[in-house]
Amino acid sequence: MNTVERYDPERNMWEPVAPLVFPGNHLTAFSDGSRIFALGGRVYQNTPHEIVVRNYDAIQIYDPETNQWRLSPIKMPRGKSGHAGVMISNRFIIVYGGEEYATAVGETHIFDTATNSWQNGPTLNIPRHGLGDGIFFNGKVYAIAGSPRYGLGATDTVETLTVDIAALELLFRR
Amino acid sequence: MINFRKPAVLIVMLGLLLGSAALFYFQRQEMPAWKWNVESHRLPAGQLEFGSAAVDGKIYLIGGTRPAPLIALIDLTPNMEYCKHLQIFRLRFTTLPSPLLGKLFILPGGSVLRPVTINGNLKKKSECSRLMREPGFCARLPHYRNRNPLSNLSRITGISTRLAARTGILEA
Repeated sequence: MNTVERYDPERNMWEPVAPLVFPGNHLTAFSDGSRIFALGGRVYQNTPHEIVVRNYDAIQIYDPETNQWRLSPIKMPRGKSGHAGVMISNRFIIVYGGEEYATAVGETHIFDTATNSWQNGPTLNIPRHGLGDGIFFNGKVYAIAGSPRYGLGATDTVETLTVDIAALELLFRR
Repeated sequence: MINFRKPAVLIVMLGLLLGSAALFYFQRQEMPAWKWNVESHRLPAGQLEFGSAAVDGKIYLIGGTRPAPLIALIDLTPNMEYCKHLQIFRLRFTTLPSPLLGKLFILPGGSVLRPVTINGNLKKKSECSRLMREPGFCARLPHYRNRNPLSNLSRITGISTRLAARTGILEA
């Protein structure tokens, strides 16, 4: 589905807002305080013989002021779903893990919302998808559990990535 | 106009070129140290498709699809010295992301996997009394939803699921 709902804790109510450009599931979403970025996701396409999974490489951006989603002209490095990610300093989105067609992946990509550009990050030691929501805590990004193989499965391992924000800024200044 | 035939100009130009190359090289050298580290302490069990959030110096993992019985909430200390189960629920939640509102986890929707519940029955009462506040505090989503479309998950895995529309609120 492509519907989006917003929760108002004061009124304890959900209300519909503008739908996503692309329907999907297993996408991630982040806020920089003024916009919402929805990255990747997948749809299932039924064929007579199998269910084909199609991963998106789209970045969809929501503006609460205009209540509109738009497609960013910049795409993800690769179509991906079931990944995790964190927003750091309301500027950098670190996306890691996930699932491409028939495989779990360990790659990490960093998106700079200020320059609309991507850089590659280090690769997870254990590729994984379905690893919960991204956690950025005490200067570290956490990759917790998830499945190291396509579909169902589970690992009990935890990986951490120490983030130096000054180094990130330098990385995107080049 | 710069006279490139003068040795001093050539030396300065060469110096600038070497300086730029060195700066580029050393900046590039900063990142290789940047890597994912596998922590020595592991979770009590593997988990998949759960919600997670950090609050008050702890990381909470909520719901998930594995194992049985499901670990619904794990307190993971920040220095990874130990992991322990705080509570074990028999409910199976494939949770949506768990946004935080102060110390409250908001758990919208999710799914309940049927085959692994005790006697195959879902305990709706405990769904709201243990994991969530009283029903009056839980706003229902206009649409049932979780990360997996019901029909496709069933077709792929043979697992029967029930999607939840209830909004769970859990206080850390």
